[in-house]
Amino acid sequence: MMRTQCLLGLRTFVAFAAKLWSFFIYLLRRQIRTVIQYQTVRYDILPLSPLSRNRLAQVKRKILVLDLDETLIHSHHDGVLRPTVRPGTPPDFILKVVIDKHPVRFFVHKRPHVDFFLEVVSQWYELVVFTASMEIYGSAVADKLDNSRSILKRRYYRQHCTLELGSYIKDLSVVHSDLSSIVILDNSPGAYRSHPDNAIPIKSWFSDPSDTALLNLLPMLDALRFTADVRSVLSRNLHQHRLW
Amino acid sequence: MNSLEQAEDLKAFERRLTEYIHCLQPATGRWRMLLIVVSVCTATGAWNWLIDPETQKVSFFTSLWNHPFFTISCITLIGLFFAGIHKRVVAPSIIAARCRTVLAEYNMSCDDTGKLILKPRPHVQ
Repeated sequence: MMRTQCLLGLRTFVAFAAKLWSFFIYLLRRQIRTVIQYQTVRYDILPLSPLSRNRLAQVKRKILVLDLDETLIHSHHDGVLRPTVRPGTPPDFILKVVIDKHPVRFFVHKRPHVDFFLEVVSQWYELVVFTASMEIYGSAVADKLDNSRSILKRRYYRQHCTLELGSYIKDLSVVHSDLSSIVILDNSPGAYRSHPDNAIPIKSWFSDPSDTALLNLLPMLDALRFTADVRSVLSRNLHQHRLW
Repeated sequence: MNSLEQAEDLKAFERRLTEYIHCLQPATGRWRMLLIVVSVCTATGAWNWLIDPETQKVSFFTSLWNHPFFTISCITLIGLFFAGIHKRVVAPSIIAARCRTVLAEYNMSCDDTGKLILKPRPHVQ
């Protein structure tokens, strides 16, 4: 009798502990991104030397063209059977868009540090969004990323791309005629095929919560604004040797 | 674009990298100092806690209660690690490593002070 009661008590305790543990894990998963972001060394704005300040006054303010999907965000919609993100990861925001009279819900995940990245680079560059996706979706995502800071005002969409061999090419001369002061950040090399010397490639992002690719770019982008012609640095690229 | 302008641009580019990493040094020094101070406090606290004959007799939490210096410095140390102090003390080399990751795409590299290393162009096969 005593043993059965003990066993019962133990079982209840184990069940309770398991519940508590899973709740703890759930909390942890929700917080883990915050903890990782907080732990990571970011990129604090540090003062310029007088020499650099002089130089900055001499050169033109540059334009940074940003891609959205797999560069700043990753999204999937209702219809996708196998979402690329790990199940259980909550999306940062959900967009309801009507495409061809069908309402579609997009679950959007922000790349780690994207808000910090935009906040910092908007002080250095004029930001332009250039996405190969449809305007109705792209503008909604850009609005969310902008978060009423009005830093992503200029936007270009699929209709501004040129379609060649099944891939959308982004023509930078649509954005700005002077190629010495425009930089494009894109995960797909096809997008900047016509302007390889103005490109900064970035790894495609789908779900990795510890990704720091955006932070990695900050020292480079910080230094690049001191050049008179961005191609002085960017034309040293190796990516044109690769097969498209 | 002539090579003189390009050299000027690369110099300006490098100047910002080196000056940024240089500017990081004082803050990194402070973090290192803090980590050393808190570590030493925890170590001395732990020593006193362990050699106290009371520690073995009373319960774990009572013994911690008896040694508030150790408890507080230990909690501070754990808190510092949660806040990523182990990364902050090596911030300049983290930033330099990030530069290298990106610069590799442009056939360049940099040392730990941010000085650029230009590599010769590889031959196209």
